[in-house]
Amino acid sequence: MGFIKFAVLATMGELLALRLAKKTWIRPNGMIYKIAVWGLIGVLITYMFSFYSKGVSAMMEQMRISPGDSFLFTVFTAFLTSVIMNLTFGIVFMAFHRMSDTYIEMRVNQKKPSLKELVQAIHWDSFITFVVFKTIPLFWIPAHTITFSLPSQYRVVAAAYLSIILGVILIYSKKPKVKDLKL
Amino acid sequence: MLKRALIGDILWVISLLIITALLVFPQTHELFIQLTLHRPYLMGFIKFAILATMGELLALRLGNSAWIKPDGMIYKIAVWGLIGVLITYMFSFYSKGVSAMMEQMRISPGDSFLFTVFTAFLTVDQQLSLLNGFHKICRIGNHG
Repeated sequence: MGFIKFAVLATMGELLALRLAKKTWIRPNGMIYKIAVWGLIGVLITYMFSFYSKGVSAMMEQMRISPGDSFLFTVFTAFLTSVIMNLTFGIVFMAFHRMSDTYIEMRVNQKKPSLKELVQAIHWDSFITFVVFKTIPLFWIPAHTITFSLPSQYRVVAAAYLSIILGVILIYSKKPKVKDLKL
Repeated sequence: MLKRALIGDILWVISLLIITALLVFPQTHELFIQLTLHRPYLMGFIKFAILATMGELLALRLGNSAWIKPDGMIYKIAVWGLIGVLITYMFSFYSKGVSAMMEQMRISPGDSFLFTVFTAFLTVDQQLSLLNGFHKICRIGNHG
């Protein structure tokens, strides 16, 4: 299910972002491969959501913070999970996705980049200054605080929806470069 | 010049031996275990501040054939200490996360050596990539 949710919703998000940026519907290069990558990311995210949420519970148990059922406590736990996940797995996964996307685009354009050429083709400066230092604290941490406050069966699909929302926010906040839209 | 480097070599090796001795001798060994148990984050800070800095100094020594004090060393030590605190937390976090996932998947955690290694492998995998990246950024930040 993780595969399907992300393959469908994240791809719809990408299409929408391209539509808003270019005023017309465009099929991204190597779309079928990108869908497959989104699906695999969906599988990974399904695992990691569960993993981080269990990790936070276990750490709280060790520190003798007893998990109450109050609304505030649920949100606090969700916030903590969101912070830890976004500052660890989030960055790694987004960097991986940057690389896989760039690789697909280069392959479609008849290039066969080595790992070094691939890394050099990516705008890491905007990845660090924008994606890591802006979208993570300002969007992903608050957004996933809400996600982790939801019952676990809705979390992965909520995350998939979020990828659409981010694209839309970016479009209306300024005229972004298409590169910045990638998660 | 060469002589100064040699004195530095000796001092460095002696420091490492002292630290190792503290870990090995029964009395200080027990103290180390107790402190690590009761003050894990403070100890994490100290361990990384000292050993990682020694590692950096050694790398510079090997690269330059002389002992060099890196630029902004005091800040770098502080950053290593903070990384030590983070690592203390994350080691525990990831290892608990892996156990909890295995439990959910009904993989029963045996006590065999192979199983322990497999669990450790899963944990390390998640840890390494991020730390490297973060530390690269810190270094560049320090230089800039």
